[in-house]
Amino acid sequence: MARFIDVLAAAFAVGSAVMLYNVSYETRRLEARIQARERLAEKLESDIAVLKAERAYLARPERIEELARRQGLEPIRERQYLRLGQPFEDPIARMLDRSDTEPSESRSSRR
Amino acid sequence: MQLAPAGAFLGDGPPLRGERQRIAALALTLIIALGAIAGQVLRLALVPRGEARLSAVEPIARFSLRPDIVDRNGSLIATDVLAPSLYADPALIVDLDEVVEKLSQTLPSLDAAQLRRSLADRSRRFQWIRRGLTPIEAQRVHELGLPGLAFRREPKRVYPLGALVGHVIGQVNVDNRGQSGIERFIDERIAEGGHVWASPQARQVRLAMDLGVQHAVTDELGGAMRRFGASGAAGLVLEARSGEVIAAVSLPSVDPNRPAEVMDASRPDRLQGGVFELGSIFKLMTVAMALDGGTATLEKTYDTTRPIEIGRYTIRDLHPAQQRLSVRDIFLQSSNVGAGLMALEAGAAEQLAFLARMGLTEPIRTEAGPVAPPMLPQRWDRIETVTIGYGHGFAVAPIQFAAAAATLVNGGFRVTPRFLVADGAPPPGERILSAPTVEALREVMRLNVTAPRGTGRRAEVAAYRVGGKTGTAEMPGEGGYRRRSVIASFLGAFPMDRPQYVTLVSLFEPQPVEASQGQITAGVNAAPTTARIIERIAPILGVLPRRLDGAVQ
Repeated sequence: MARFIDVLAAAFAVGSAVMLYNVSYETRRLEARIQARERLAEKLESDIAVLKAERAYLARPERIEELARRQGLEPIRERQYLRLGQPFEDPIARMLDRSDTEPSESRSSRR
Repeated sequence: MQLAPAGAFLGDGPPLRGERQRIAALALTLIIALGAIAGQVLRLALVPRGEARLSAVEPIARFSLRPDIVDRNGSLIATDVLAPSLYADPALIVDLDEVVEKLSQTLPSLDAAQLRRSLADRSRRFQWIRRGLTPIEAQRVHELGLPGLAFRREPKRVYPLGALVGHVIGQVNVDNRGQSGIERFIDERIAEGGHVWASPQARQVRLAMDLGVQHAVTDELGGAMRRFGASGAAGLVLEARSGEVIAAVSLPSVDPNRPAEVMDASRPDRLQGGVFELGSIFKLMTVAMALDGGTATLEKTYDTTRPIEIGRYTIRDLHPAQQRLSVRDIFLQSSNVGAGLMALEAGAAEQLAFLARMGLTEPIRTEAGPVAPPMLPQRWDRIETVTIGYGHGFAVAPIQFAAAAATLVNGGFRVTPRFLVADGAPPPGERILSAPTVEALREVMRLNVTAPRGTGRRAEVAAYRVGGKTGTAEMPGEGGYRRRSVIASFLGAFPMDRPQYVTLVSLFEPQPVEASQGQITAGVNAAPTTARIIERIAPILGVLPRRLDGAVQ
């Protein structure tokens, strides 16, 4: 009986040593993976920061204004405002029907 | 109790039946215990566990990031990026001459002599050479392949919009700490344990500024500087009630990416970094004082046909009136004599008290730093009372004046200029002017733009009901005022029937060019510039043109 216990204990000792080695090996492997992930996250964060800055640089108002003006856009003017329901001249309809080109006055509402 | 001799239990002779049972029980206990340990080890080895993973690594030191700065619509103004910084380990340098020569070739702005000195001491193991390199510079240095040089990535503040936001932002030092402006404010607030961002997830500092408006004001002011040959310009757009700064422009501007520009004395922050005698726009205060103090009404007349003589001083109007002028006409024609008489009537004590009530006599500060403190006259006698009545002899920072002027049109509530969006509704300022005073001021300000005899008629944008006051102040020079050197300003507000925004446009040293009919007064340069600005920014700010607004004017 005593011998059996000895053998069993030895087996456990060897077994747990192997397991312990495994655990520590696995731990180190995970650690390396975590560090790689952290580095990747940091790099991505830094890339995002750069991209954000570049996006803001490209969206700076002076550049947008130039691009917009090149497209024929300009700041909105008073006559371009209409009341809801107010009849307005439809530029597309005008393009389709060239005969109907008399420019309509912007209607100032009377009170 | 007597102790059993050693070996009494496991010792000599054949063990008794009871002992064997006990040993078996003991062994069983041991097996169970060891089994439990083995099982736990097995479990840890096989079952992945989140906590175990986290505790396995040292936390990697993160660089401390400054919060981003965004405008009121969330557009980015300032952020941090990681930039390579070059350092050397002098002990590892093989050939000092080669290092110094090649480095100063690659980075021309390096001081070769100083570099040699700092790298000569081999006992030092760490020496910064240049921080915050661009990626291209870093690549070039890397390609030199010199031993002893290495990079470390550090956060670097970048301002993608360059000079657009200019003075307000301030600057950070090489350690990414705020030195001035909003950047410094951020550091101070965080050091106090406070926070500067609206929501903790966002970690953003939100300015009240609208970049679209800021750009429009910058663009128009730049154009005005070119058209009128001015040496500088300042523009401010305030929300009339909350004091939120929608745009703050001082030209020539500074690019916070270039700290040298921020320190450059030829690029001052004209809005809050200096005080100026603002001239006739100060008459707004004089009229407000007289109306609120009850010493005058808009209809009351003064004898403006003769100059005011006090001691050896004579105050006269450029074009003296032929008859007595009412307060309304004094305002419209911007009569110095009239404003002086109104001030005299109220008296120096009342004048000082009124200016103090309007917050013009005490130094103030904004999130962008302390505002240059107002300069009051040493003596405040009759002559000072008269000159201050029309805006000379009392110097104040434009931003402080604009805030006081906002009170004149917003219903009479005190206004503090603020660059950050207030958390929730800003506390309502106390009421410091009566409603009839504010009504009368709105009337004359609007009239000054619509009436044919008004000095501000070139500021008119009919759709947005502009109102305001012109002011042309001679700049002090050596031995007195310089006639041809003026600050031409227009203090405007719109829409005048219920003012939402206050604008201040100042042109420094405009020239008598053709575009201004050979004149340098504010009515021909600052006023039309204000009109162009308001026409452009009103749609951005959501101010509706009159015919849609339902307002009556």
